[in-house]
Amino acid sequence: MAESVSKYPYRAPKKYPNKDLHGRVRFGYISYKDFKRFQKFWVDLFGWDMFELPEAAGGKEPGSDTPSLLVATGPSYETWEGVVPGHMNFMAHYAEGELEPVNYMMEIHMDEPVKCTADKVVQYGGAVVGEIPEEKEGWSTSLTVSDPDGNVLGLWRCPSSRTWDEAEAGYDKD
Amino acid sequence: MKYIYTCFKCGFPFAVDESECPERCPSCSAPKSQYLVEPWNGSIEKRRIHVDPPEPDPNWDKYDVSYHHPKHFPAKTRHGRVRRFVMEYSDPQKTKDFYTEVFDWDIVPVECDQDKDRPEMFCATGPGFANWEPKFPSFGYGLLKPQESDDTGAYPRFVVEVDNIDELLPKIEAYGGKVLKGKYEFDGKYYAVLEDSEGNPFYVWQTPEDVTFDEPESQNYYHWDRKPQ
Repeated sequence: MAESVSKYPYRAPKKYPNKDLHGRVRFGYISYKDFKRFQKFWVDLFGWDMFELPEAAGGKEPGSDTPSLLVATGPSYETWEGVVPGHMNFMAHYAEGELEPVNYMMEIHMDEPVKCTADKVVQYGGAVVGEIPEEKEGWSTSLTVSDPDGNVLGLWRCPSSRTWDEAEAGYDKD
Repeated sequence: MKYIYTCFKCGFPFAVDESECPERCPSCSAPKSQYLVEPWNGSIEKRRIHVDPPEPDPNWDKYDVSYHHPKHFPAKTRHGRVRRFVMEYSDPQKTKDFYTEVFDWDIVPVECDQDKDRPEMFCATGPGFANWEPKFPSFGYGLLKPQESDDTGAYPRFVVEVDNIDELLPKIEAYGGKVLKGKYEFDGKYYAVLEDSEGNPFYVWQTPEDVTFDEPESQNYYHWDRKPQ
């Protein structure tokens, strides 16, 4: 695999100077069939830490045998956002049917309707999966799309409560 | 009437009308009895009640998934961190245009000896340092690979960094996983392809010997106001 980071590409990445996290891949989604087995594999062998999502976010009652989880794969703070750059945390959930391929959640513009991004996804060969949700002022909104090769992407529009003091909300100010 | 509720267990503040107040904390699931309440004053930021968040508990049961501060990850190791996402493509230009135009990614071919027409491509999805490591926490960079490049047929979707592949591989089967491709070298770095206990395929990448652990991505803690900029 050509996953070398010793020879860096020939230039620095472009600057992201705006107060906007559009396009950042923020979390991975991984599914499991047997929670205890899944937990033991990743906790014992790789040191992951797991927290059961509240019912409003994960859809499962507290103490469920098939919980929805936030997973810290590296150093994170009390909100379970990463606290050190360079790694991604995951969300994990029970697969009702077949195991689902790992996919990713990206943030999209906070200051425009999700439909604008959905339209662009279609324009460039992707597709919207399911319905475009109704949006409410002050609430987060999520949408599922796929890229031209069928890779599934979760899109998330953060609510306006973001203060930009959050560690994960940094951007290029220089 | 609208109030600001602050959870005494996790410190999470939220503002809603009392008629819509949830029975459990949206952040940690603590019951409503744990909320501290004050009148809405126009802004959550101007609230008077602040609760210190919990600290990592060194005695926490690692299998207990009830709300807690994430564990304190040890220093001088990046073992277990998900370092890159991986997705496959069929048409390189179409895929590059999609992610560049729709999501503002910055995409370059990985600098190595490879097929120039169907390269493996490295993706910056947000601000980064000159060495193409993310500059801020809680998001990832990744790789777009040509579909034919995966010789395991398993379609691994992420890269986990590990301390030592030789020490890891003998443990995988005992935990229900599989070694799909044993340790191999590419461009001076070591990798393997594994499957977890559920069947999720992934790469492991051994921490290179030239890592000093002074790098931002090697740290195990950043103070809240010590931002890398």
